[in-house]
Amino acid sequence: MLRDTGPTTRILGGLSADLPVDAPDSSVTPVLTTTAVALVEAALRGDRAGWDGLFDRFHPVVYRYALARTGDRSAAEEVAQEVFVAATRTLPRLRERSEGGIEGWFVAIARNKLADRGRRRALEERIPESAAAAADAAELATSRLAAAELRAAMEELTEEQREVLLRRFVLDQSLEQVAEATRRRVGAVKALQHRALAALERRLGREWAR
Amino acid sequence: MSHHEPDALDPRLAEAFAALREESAAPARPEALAAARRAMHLAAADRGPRGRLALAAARISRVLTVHRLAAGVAGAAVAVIAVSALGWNAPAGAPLHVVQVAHEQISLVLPGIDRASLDLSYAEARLEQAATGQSDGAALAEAQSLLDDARDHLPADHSAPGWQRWEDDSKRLATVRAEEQGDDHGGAGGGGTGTTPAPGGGERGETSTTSTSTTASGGDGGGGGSSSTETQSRSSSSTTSSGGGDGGNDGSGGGSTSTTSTSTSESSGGDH
Repeated sequence: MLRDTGPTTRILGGLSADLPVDAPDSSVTPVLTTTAVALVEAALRGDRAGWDGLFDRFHPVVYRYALARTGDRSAAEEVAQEVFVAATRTLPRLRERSEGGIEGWFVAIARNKLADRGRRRALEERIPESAAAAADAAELATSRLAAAELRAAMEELTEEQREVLLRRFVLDQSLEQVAEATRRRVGAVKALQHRALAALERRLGREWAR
Repeated sequence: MSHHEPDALDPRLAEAFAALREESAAPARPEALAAARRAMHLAAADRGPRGRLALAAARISRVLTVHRLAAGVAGAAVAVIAVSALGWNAPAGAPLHVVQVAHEQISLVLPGIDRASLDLSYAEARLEQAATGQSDGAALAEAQSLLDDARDHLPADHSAPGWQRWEDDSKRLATVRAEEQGDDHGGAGGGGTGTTPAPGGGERGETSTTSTSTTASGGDGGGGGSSSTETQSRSSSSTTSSGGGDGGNDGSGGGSTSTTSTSTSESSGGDH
């Protein structure tokens, strides 16, 4: 069985200081009582509790990442399920046995699953519908339209840029956390974020100027 | 602009991010969570120690099955190729002759083909088989059928070159058939029932070629013999006289060969 390895730890860190947000979402920033590494080792031994621990800890991140990418709750749920099924197959090959590395590994599987599902094409087909629906609902129109436009614009970015922005501004991860999860230096993450935001502003600025 | 600071973000972009974050904050539905957890456990169990063993066994089985299938397919392909190769020119009556017939049937219905000419070619091949002893009566039957088909597809104008060829082939068919019957006849002669046509015999008579049974009805004298020259020369080596008179090898008697199915004489050596 798993042992409690010590004091409570946050693996996803605090909310980003970059954007004002409401109260932290405990489902996305889970409280840890066992290290992710210990959970991985338990899972590799075939310990069911190890898998449960990994699921409890990383499913929210994976799901939220998928939801941000797709804007479709059912699709995000499916992707998250596929990620954890795939993880049972590929966990023995996981090399980065650190908290951030394990989380990055799960998100990487999600990214691949999203690519496999051709989510991008489906998204392009769905955007006009979301936009039209949002235009009809006065209250929700602005935020939904903005989210849909942002999602569409982010699909034009590179995979690396998109991941940095999603981690920073949707999953509320710090630069250090993003750096650990993506196995980059903090400076490289900053540079990616800078270029990604500049590209987004250019693209959305054109849209908004219409 | 250097690295983005919070206050450096375009307000609309910041608003869009806030909207996206809010939209993405909706938790997964409990039933979806339960389903995902169950699926994960099932997959993990499949890959557990016992699952791995089962997986390995399944893999071995799959590999073996694939190999077996591959071997089966390869064997079938070799068999088909062998049958095709062997059957391509198998003479009529041979077990694999059906391959050749199938090939010919396909060729005959190809668009734009000169069917009559092709029929004649195939018929000639059958005649050749029969003449060289490669095939039994089946070749002649097929030749007849092919000649009939050729006739149906020859032009109405009988002066067309195909007609001459058809007539030549028909004559050759009759000749070969007569030869075969002559052979049969000679063989039967051992039993004392055969007859020998009289080479020098009569001048008329006819040979019916519709059956292989033979009956002789010799005349009582040097009447008309009724065989082709080739038949005569072949038959002369196995002579058995029956019937009438002194007709026979001395040529003085009239012999006639009749090969009708009813074993009756269609010609008779007469008193000629």
